[in-house]
Amino acid sequence: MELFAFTINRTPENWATALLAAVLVIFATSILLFGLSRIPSNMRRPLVGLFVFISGLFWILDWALPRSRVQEGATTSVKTLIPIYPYDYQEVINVLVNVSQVMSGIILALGVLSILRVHFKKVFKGDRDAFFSIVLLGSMAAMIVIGLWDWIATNREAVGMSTPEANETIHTAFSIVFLDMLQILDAAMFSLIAFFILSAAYRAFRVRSIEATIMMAVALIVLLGFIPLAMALTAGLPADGFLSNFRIENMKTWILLNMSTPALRAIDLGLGLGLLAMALRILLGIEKGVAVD
Amino acid sequence: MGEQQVLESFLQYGRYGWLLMLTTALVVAYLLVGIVLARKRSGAVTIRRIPGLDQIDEAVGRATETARPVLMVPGLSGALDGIAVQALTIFASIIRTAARFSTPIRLLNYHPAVYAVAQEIAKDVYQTEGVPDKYDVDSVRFVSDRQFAFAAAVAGTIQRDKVAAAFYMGDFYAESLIMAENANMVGAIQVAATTQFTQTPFFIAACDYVLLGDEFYAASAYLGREPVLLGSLVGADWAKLTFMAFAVVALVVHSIQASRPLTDQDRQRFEEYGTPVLPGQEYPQRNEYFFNWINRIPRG
Repeated sequence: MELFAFTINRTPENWATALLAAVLVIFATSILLFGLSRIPSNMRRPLVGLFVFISGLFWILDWALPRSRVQEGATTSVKTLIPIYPYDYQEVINVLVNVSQVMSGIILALGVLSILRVHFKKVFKGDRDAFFSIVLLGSMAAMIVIGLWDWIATNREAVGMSTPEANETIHTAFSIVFLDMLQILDAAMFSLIAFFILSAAYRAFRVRSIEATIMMAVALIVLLGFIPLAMALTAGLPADGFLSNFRIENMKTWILLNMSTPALRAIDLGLGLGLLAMALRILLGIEKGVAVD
Repeated sequence: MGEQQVLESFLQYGRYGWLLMLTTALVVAYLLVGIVLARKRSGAVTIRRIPGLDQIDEAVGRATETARPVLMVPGLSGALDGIAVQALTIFASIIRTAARFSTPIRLLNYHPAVYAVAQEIAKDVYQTEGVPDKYDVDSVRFVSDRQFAFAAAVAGTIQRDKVAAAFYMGDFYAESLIMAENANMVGAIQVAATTQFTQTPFFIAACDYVLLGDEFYAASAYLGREPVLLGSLVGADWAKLTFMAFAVVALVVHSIQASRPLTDQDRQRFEEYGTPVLPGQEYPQRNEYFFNWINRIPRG
């Protein structure tokens, strides 16, 4: 576990340890993958089921094992003590999370390959939308090069091998492509939602049936309940007593608290139970889906 | 262990309360009993109609007639989690129908892990249906792991390919309406299911069929009709009934306790919580009574 738990302080010893760890992991993974490829196909399903069960068990144990308050010098911390190395179960979980992140990183390469294959094919075939593919591939290449360059420059600055002044150009370039372009484009897409809400609401609230009429009336009350000018319409009603229930802001609050919230909570409860049921089916290997097939 | 000194140890229920542990154990027990009973009494469990899932064949059929593709989006899961797995299970069924009718598909992914699995599933389904040559490797794509870049790409695909049917299953956030409205513009049949209940209203407004709440998780049992899977649904229904009974008990206890006049101690405690008790505002604060009643029950 020490091998995986080291912190890279950017010293030659730590880099050597990291390199050794990487070589060992690649070697072990290669052997594991070779072994898996040799397993008979009828054994694959039980094996995958076993892997899934063990993986799930790690998280169940994390939830079920007792916690301990531990004093170490002047500091106290909460740990999940286990009688075997590394003695704190949280460290096991940390290693699993790291492994999962490394695997995600490897899988990202598959995703990038998919993008390259789809768009290069469009470009070489002279597809009608090839121009957009060229823009995408160019943007992607620019972002990868500038992002990596900026990352290297930042790391060199961190160990005193360079200064921010010397890397000003690349930091500016990164700022332009990331902050001034990508984030702005994100915001532009997000802002489109306002118009889509309007068009969806127009269709949903058209008075075509009793349900649509009720929905429109309720939506109108809630909308007006948020607008000060609309609140002024019923401001003449008393603040206390029976008639205060008909003030538009009170009707809005009542609808949100007593109708909308319980309905959403009921859906959420159903989702939670459904997820638990499905997790159990996957753990026990009885789900006839993609998880174990 | 070195110089570490254990001051105290406590089980999780000591931290979160016994009620959580009991409820979880009870729900798991319900599910297991449901599964076991369904295995014994095969065929005795039926499942109600879910219109959204019944529409799969019709939607794919329309796509076949118009020679336009079927779009599938397995949500924005940050990894290959249970939600993405469930979405892909449903999509496997859709791909099977599409493979039978040689209907083109577009399965657009947000996460590379989901993409890798989705590609294997699609390939496997086409092989199982005996038409491996009809599988287009570019029909299952990784698009982007940035939310709005993904939304833009899906919207672009919808508009360019004029999809005939669109299925959105899984985790969706603000981009849900961008996709659904674009598909609506091109006249696609849309079926949606999301685990983010805040997005459900948007899908209801924009789509033709929406799977509500746990209907999404019931899909594999509904499509496969396996007795064991149906059994877990029965267990989940029992759990729901228990929660409903619990809500009724809570309502009665709450009502009885809320009828008591507030004491000075209560007022002091409410003020400690940062919610001063003012005339006319007392009633909502009395929810505290019920939780105090639970907390007074001895633990461990």
